[in-house]
Amino acid sequence: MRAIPMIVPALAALSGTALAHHSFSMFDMKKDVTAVGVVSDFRWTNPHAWMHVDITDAKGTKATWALEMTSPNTLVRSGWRRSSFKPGDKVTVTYHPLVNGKPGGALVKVVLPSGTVLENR
Amino acid sequence: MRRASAWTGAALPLACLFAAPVSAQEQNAAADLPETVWPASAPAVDFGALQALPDWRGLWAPQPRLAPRPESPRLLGKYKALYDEIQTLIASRDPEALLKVERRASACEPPGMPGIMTQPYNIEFLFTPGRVTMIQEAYMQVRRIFTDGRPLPDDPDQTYNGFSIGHWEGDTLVVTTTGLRDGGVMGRWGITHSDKMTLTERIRLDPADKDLLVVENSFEDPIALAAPWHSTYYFKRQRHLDQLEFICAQNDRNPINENGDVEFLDAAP
Repeated sequence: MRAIPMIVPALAALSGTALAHHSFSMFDMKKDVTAVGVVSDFRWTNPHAWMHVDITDAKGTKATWALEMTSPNTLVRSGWRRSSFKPGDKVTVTYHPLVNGKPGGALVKVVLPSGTVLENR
Repeated sequence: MRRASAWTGAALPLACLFAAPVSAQEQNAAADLPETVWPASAPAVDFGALQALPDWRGLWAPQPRLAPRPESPRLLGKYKALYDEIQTLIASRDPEALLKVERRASACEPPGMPGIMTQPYNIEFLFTPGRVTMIQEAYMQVRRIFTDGRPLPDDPDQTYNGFSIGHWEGDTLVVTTTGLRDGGVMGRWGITHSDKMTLTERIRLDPADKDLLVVENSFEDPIALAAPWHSTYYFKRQRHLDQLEFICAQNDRNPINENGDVEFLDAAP
């Protein structure tokens, strides 16, 4: 991670909450991207839960996005369950993208078809 | 043999047949192991004494925003140099600053004392006769604080959480910890200590709020600090939760590469 444009907000965010696993400097924490996609994988694991979402962009190009959450320990206290969704589910995800441009990011929230909002915090 | 075993019985005749003559001065190092039984493990036990201790049950969630900003540490030598370097990097807004302060072998490597107290996960305390045990939910880390009168070791190994003894002063648990690793972090942004650091914690419930736990730290370090350095941590009680399992090696997709950078693996192992 050599080119990190938003180091100051990242530092400010970190000073409030100590880190358990790693910093957020690899993500553009000032940028929220919202997209609709189909869940292809969901891992209810430590140190992070992960979801893979197949997202088709405006040009019709499909890519699988890897989105990292916090731990199941924290998510379960925000209303998540290991059964919150499953591969094939259509979801709306909001995330902070990787600064290196690869299809990955830190999840902000997921909106399920039912309207249920699962926040990553 | 202090510790007889089936192996000993089976192997001894063979050893007599094939082994070279043994010098009279030779002695198995295991013969020098200490055999002291401290009160925390002694056959005689008084569970009733626990009744006099304060109620610290439940989980304790860290409250970093309640903590006052600590004074600037008066660091010495290489510890000051590292601190100054990181402060300069932060002031320059160099992205390397963040990497510098978190450079570790693995993101799953625990922080050690006192970092175990400041991870963004809850802690809990267990009281047994002669001992207080603290469990940090993140990575399921354990601190053992012996309150049975044993002394600190003269020559401790340097470990992540060190060796801790404690005693009760009223409802305050006073803990002394030594045997921590050189270069361990005692505060944010490059505040590190030597392996000669002694940490004293005074842990108590806030008299005005029995659901608020206060930990007052005093760091003394003849190598890294010109004067004692202090910090305070706060925790709020949560009675409705239990700790959950946390195995950091289960799916660690953030390895740290040879440059010290945290990676992001986009595929599940």
